[in-house]
Amino acid sequence: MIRSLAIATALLMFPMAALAQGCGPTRLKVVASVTLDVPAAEAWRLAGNFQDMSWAKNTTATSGSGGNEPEKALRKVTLANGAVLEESLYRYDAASMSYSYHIDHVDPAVLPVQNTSVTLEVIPAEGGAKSTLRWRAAFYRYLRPGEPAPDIADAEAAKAVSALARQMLAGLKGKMDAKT
Amino acid sequence: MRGRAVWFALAVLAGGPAAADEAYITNQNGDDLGIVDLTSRAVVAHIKIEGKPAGIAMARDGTRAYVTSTNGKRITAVDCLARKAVATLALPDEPVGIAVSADGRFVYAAGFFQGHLYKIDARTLKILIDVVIGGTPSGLAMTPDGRTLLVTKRDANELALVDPATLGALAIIPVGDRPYGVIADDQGRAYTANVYGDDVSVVDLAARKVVGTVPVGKRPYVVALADGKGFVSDQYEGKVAVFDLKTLQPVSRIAVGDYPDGIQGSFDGKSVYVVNWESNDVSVIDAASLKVVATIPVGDSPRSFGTFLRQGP
Repeated sequence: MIRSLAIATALLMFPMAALAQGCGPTRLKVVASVTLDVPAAEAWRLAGNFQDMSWAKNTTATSGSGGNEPEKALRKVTLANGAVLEESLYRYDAASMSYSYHIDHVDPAVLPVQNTSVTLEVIPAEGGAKSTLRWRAAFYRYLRPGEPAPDIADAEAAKAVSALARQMLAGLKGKMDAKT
Repeated sequence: MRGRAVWFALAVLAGGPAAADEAYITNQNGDDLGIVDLTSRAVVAHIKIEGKPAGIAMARDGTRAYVTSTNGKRITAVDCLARKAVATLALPDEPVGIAVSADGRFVYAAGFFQGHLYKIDARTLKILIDVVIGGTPSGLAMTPDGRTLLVTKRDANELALVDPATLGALAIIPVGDRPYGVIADDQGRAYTANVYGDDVSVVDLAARKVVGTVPVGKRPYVVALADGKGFVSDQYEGKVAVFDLKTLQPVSRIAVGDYPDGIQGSFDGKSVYVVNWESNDVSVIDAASLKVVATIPVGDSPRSFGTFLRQGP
């Protein structure tokens, strides 16, 4: 009920945009990673639970249900700036230390994107003494009436996602790298 | 035949394209077209294509490729013998899917947001016919006999059968949820990958109805055909789902690169080439053993949505 109300409001406010959402024609990617001074298994213990985002320094709360079960697990992540991301898990692979989720809802004023899928993975580094925590996203810009040229609108979307990724990994001990 | 002879003479003179089959890879965020020699399995040339190239249609004689640029709202014609862009057509909308007529004389493209379908003169790149088809037209494909143009109307959940001469609609067929890529076989069937339905609709083109639905992985994008099997790129799984074309039963899931997008069966039916958008590479699948036998690094964010293989002489 709440969801249909929200959709109805969006339709009233952005009739053109609401009609046009869905995958756009240009998919964008952002990859951010940080090298941690701990072995991969330890990094996975830190970041491998879909229901716990306390390791990410830009979050203040995580609430959810369904554990780490794909197609069942849901979570709401509250960011330090107050924004809330509603996310659903669609792949979880403890053996390869990675999981993938979809951002089901986010205020486009916070993140001007749609149809965002993210894979978080831990990769052994430097002979196993260290590990790399990698966050990679595939997404499309949020379409809105009167948007600037596609390249500019895409760049704005990528910049926002890149900033989110950096803030998420910032503060973790090690060396960080983020690129779009 | 004559085209082939000229092609061969030019190739010898220029020391240009070799005898191998090639894959033309649209590197969307890289703004270029990479040409992969499928014998040496290496990128042998790059052609700059502005505007985020995504879709591609290869002329059957291999002389021309036509590329859609989404953000750049244009179509670029590429001379495959000279390996250079030779003409562009500006459109009022962002094109994605593209197809070429069996005789190579016409190109078909659609505007994603405004829903126009265009028939374009392949030589001059002038628009000859412009109709509104609507429904967010996404994938375009020509039937092997060249008599029917197939267009997925993604947001209408329909497959349109279009007369390639007039662009008149022959039939509008309801299919699965959010059809994107489409391909026709030589047995009178078409297959749509339904992105939100996580399945493939099998359409009898003569009866103009869905005759089967094949469950595949999450977020299927494009279907390829080889060795009596369908191969479907499942973007969220990093896998290709394989099904039997006779029984329409799932056969296997093959792990490929990340976020597989464009996919096409080789001309000899022995291989399937999968273009992996996120991991920036192409997986080569042996169509009989269903194993990945090679991975070829390509450019940034490769798509190759359409027909991207070019047959060597």
